[in-house]
Amino acid sequence: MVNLGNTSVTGRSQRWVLTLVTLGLLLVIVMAIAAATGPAQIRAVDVAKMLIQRLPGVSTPQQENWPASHSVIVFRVRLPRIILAAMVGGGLAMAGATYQGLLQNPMADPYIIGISAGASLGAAVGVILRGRFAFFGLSTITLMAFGGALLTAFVVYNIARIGGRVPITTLLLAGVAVSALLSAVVSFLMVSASQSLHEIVYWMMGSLSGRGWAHVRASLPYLAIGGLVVLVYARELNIMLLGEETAENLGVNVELTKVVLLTAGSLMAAAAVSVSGIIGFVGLIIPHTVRLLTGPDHRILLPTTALVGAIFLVVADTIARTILAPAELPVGIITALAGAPFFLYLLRRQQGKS
Amino acid sequence: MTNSLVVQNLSFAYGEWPVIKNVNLSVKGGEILGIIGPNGSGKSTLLKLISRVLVPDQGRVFINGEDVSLWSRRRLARTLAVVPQDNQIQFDFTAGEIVDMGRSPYLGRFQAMSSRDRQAVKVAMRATGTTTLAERSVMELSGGERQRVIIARALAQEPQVLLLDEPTASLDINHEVEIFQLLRHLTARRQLVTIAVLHDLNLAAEYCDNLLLLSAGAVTAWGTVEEVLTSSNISSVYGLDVAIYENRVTGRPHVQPLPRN
Repeated sequence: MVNLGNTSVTGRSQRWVLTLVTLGLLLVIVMAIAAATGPAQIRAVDVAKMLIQRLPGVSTPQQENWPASHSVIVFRVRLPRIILAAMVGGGLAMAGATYQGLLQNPMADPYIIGISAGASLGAAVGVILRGRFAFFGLSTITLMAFGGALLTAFVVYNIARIGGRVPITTLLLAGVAVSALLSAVVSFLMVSASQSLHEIVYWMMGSLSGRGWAHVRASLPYLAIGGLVVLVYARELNIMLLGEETAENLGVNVELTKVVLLTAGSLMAAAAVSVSGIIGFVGLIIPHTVRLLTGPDHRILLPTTALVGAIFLVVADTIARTILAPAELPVGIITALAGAPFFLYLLRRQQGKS
Repeated sequence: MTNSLVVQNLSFAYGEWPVIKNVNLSVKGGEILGIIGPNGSGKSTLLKLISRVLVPDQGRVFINGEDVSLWSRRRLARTLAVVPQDNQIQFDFTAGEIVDMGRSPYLGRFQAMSSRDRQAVKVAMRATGTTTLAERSVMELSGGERQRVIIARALAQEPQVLLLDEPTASLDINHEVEIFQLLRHLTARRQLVTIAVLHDLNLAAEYCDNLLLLSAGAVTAWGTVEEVLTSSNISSVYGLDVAIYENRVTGRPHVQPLPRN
């Protein structure tokens, strides 16, 4: 009864808003701290002042009491990378939550329908060709990875399509098989072009090293549009959790919903992978963790997952670039090292409860 | 206007394999039709054809005189609700949230539930005695409670037609009786067209007004319980000798399978 009375529905909305605002603020704080972290000693306060100064319409008479080089480091080097980390983390986590809901499979992650294998193959070919062409500041590798990822998702979807329907199990199996095939091709390329081996392997581990505003600009539209579409379909995702037949009986156009959500999820995952390589675990673990906290309702699960994924990857990338400074670790190593034990802890705790 | 559902010459095949052959039936509001027949006779398929989860190869389904193949999925969902056979819900929704989903065919994409929607949910939960379960997780409910929640979700759709596929298949006898009494009451009160696929012939005899006996996808008998449940009908379709006698307590026919000699 209580949840049907107006008071408690408002209570739920208030709780949701509070959760999102808190996490949004936390993300901003984490990003500011990350911008102040690194070999050059820049104070967080100065970073904040620099940012406020740049806001449109703000003309502070304040003195700039930091060297000009600090401003360059923050705006040209750290900030784009931090923003990209937040976008990639949020995008991967949200795509993972979407796939897990849509495929009703807890093992689903953004890579499950072949996105990672396709991107790897694209990237590997890009590395080997030593592509000279670049587009709006993006390397051949980035562009090839994006193309490879999308093409693979498209092929897998069409393989799984039987008479206008895409059975979930067929889609999963087709994804696994195509991934295996493409991975074999990547391995073959790595063996036969061994001078490129190191670069390909490094790309596949996932890293945000050396990424700049061009990558932010290039991936933002896909992540933003994909994210918005998924949010708009949150109610359908909830109903799809009850099974496809029930969803149809409740008026949902199931096949259309699948196409829309798979396209949106694949765009997000492809955009994320092409600028960052294959960062594992974010898209698998963050949605599960958040689901334990918010419950299965996608209207709150999806935005919360995006924020938590963003925070997680900003922190992980900051660790990746500072822990062995001046050397860098691929951030994929950090996400798995930190994410897996935490997830196992949650899993055990959850099992203990039931 | 009284509600009605009419099925005309419905046929369906999985590939080359005919599953439903030229089925005709009609049900009036306030009436429960039981669909009976052996495993594989096409009972569930017939239900899926009526709810348009499957699209028939031939034939039509009319609700209140209108051909439903011309309707949108959402319009159909505002008129016809289904209680499926397997209602295991693996996700931690509350019962209230599940019933809320019954309102989704009434909601536009960016529309929140109105007080009218909340009222429909409230009425559905009251009618099924699930009001006190609203805050509980569906994963913690007993089989009987969960089934009542699913029926509440169907009622929240405010349907004129209610389809049920073995609604009490996995329930204890006390819950079975409870669910069927609820269905009788709701069908009469709201003048619903209720169609239930049933496995248990005696359950069908107790609670249905009319029966449709399917055999290999075709109608063998259709009529009142007494007309359909004859020993010759049952023995020819099930390949089994039965004795049929009147249940002295309820006055309904009772089917007693006889051992083979």
